[in-house]
Amino acid sequence: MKRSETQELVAGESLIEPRLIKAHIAAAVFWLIYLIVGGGLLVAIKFTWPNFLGNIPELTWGRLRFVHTQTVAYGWFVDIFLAAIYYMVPRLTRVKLASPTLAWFNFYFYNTMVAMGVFQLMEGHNLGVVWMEYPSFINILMLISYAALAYNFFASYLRSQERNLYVSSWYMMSFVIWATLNWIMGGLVPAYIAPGIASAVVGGLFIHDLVGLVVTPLATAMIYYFLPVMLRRPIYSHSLSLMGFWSLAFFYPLVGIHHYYYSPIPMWAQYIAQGTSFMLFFTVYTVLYNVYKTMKGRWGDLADNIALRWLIGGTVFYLMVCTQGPLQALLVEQPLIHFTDWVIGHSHMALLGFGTFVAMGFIHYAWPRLTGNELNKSLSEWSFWLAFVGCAWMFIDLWIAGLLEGYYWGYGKPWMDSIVRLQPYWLSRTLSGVMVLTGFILVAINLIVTARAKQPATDSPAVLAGAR
Amino acid sequence: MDAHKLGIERAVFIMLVAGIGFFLLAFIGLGLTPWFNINHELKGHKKTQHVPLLTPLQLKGRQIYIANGCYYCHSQFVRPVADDPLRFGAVSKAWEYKHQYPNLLSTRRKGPDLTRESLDHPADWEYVHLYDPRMIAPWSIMPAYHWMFDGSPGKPNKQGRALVAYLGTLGQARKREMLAKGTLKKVFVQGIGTVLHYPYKGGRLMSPGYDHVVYFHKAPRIADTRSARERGKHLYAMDCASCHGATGNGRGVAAQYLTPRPVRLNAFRFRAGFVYKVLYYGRPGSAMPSWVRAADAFLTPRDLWSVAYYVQTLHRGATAPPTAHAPIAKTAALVKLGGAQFATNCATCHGPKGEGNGVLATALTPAPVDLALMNPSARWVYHTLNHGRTGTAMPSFSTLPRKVRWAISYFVETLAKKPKNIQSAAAAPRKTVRIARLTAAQSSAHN
Repeated sequence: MKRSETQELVAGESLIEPRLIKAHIAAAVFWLIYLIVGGGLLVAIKFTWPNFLGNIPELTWGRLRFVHTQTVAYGWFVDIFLAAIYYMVPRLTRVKLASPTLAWFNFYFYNTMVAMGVFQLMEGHNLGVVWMEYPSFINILMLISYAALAYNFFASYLRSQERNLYVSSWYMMSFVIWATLNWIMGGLVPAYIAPGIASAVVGGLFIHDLVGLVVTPLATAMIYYFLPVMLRRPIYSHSLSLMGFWSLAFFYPLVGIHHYYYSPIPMWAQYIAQGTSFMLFFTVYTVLYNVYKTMKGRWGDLADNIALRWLIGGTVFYLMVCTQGPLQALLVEQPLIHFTDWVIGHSHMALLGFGTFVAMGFIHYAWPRLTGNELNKSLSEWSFWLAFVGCAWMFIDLWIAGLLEGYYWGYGKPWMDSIVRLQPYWLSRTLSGVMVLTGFILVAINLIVTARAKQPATDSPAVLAGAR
Repeated sequence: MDAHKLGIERAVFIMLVAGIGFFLLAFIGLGLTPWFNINHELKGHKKTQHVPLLTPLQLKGRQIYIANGCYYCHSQFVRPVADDPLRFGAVSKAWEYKHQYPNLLSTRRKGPDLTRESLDHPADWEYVHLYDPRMIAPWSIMPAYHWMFDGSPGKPNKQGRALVAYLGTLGQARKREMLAKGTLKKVFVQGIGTVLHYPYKGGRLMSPGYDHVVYFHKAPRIADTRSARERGKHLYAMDCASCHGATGNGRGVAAQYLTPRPVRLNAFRFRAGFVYKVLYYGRPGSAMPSWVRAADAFLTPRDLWSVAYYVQTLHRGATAPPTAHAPIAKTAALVKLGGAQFATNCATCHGPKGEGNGVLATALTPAPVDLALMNPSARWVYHTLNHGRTGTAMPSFSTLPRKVRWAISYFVETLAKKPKNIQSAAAAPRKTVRIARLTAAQSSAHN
């Protein structure tokens, strides 16, 4: 991509729908805080005090846990991804949204569905497919949302006069298709068509496609879009971004069975999943080499560009999570770490560390431009460091707990010994979660304060930070 | 070619190849192919006949299992690796999951695996555990499901009954298949009952065997030391006290909801080997699980001996239990009368020497106890003769004259087997040894 094109990405304020994007960001941040307070935090507290709020069926561990995970994936992530799509696509295609009305309808409709999903899960209506727990009628209704998104999305590209497709567009196009196909596959096949172990085969594919083909592509699209924009510098290598994309598209859909290693799934399928999981090294290192080469000589920008710091923080977690991932997907590791808190640490680093931090980069970049006001500097600093340190604390805590758990089981200790031994780690995890939560609450306050501030600041240093 | 067209073509290419193509490739390659592979293997597979179709109540139970997220913390597959087969039983096979929509394999084990749950715990245990897991396991972090009951573990409502009915199906298919194939045998163990015997299948890690069976049979007995009893005390508090009571009086918090009621341990002078045997096998027909198999316990031979030695120290002698009837003094003639009456009333089940091997013994669940190794106090026998044991075949003998009941009670005391390691066979030295051991144990317990 040429330097002139990079600068064009920054322009195009007239093409987007600022209110729509702001609404999606606000909804996303609402879900983010809700899923921690009403899901993760309560669930974590129950590890230490299992009777806490125990007499209300709606607030038991087994129901809130799914409120937590489903809202992560479909409340927070999909909402923020829609915001990012509405922000990026009109600029990349140079056309306005085909139907803002449809997009607005989709905003209300989709978030109503997520809220309904939370309610249904708490009432105990659960499909029972891992990461696809919403009852089927919600899954079917949500297809309307996917269709509405697809219409607006593809209409933009069909009407576009742009000759070049920037790499973010590639990721986003595939995202729209993958998310829809995966939604249909996960909602339909394991619960209704494939029996028993075959259901686990497809369920495994679904779980990993959700991470690899829904969260990762959009987060990567955001990195490829916002990194050059923030740095005012083109991406290091277009060829590397191509390799990253095609290897992701090829290998990611093939890894899902590693969620059920040593299950009765045919062993050859597990060996293939092991091989393809290992190949993710290639995908991730290609993308990150590209990212860090782009950053070369500009690391100093992290000091005062808060959006860039969130984004790069996310890529650091991406580097770690995807170094861990292919290694822990080896069959030799599985007897020790499978089923333990290690995996919980790993998945938190993927979604909370990588996905959420990158999305926060987008929010911190876009919000001042959408509202015309600067973000509060000290709130930004506090929120970043609270979230960053809290995350690191949580991940390390869970890895240690997971290894301990694995060794306790492996050495044939009574089950309850592992539970008693892990209690301090679970308490520590709750505290780290409180720290992360505080960070995100400060983000929310920062966004509200910024949106409500009176003075227009179109020429303020923050808005033009990247232009230096 | 104009610029616009080129962009569109590239977009279509990406969407067709990366978006749809690679996704479908993966779905066909690693979704449909293993799926058909499994279907092909199961076609005409005779084993699948052992997989039951769930009844409406059990299906409702499965729904409740899903609705409350049980499947998140409790996995349902036993892996051929690590401690899995030792802890949870035979390695899972694909055919066991026939008829399951969706699978409940799970990706996490916060609690034990439930693949073979019904082989470990009966319904009354499940009810108490569901009502409040901490009534059974004080350190458990599982939620309490009070709303599946009408106020107490003894009164499950429809939800509780359905869920426990579903739990009762877990592991049954494999059990039936293994019994039919002969890889699993029902063996009558004297004084314990009919247990499922898992033959040793070679030491390979991947084998679906219960390797620990051999391991346990070969395990040497540890010495009855103070440290062993301390370890036993700790384990007793952790695993046993909730049912048998902290002092062994049979009145733990869970006791009143279990049928038959947990044994009042302090009324017996157990032989340590017998306690080991019960801990090892459990007591089929009661809530007493096998502590080497029960997924939450998984004790080692060393632990079992430690618990056995500690249980021996719980004995409270003639003080337990209090009975409304004043004892009749023990005389030689009374014991002789007891012997005759025992042969008439008790021997058909308990065997002529009270070893739990009467002619009816194999037909009863739970099986008659081995009085020779349990060595109950006369008061306890008298108490049991009066009241019977609810939930077992032991009836009340209160119709017998009071003298006869006391006579049988005193006779049962004489059935006690001597420990093997004391060859002299004199009653007095044996008693001395036991008393000495008791005193040491009691003093250590008080310290």
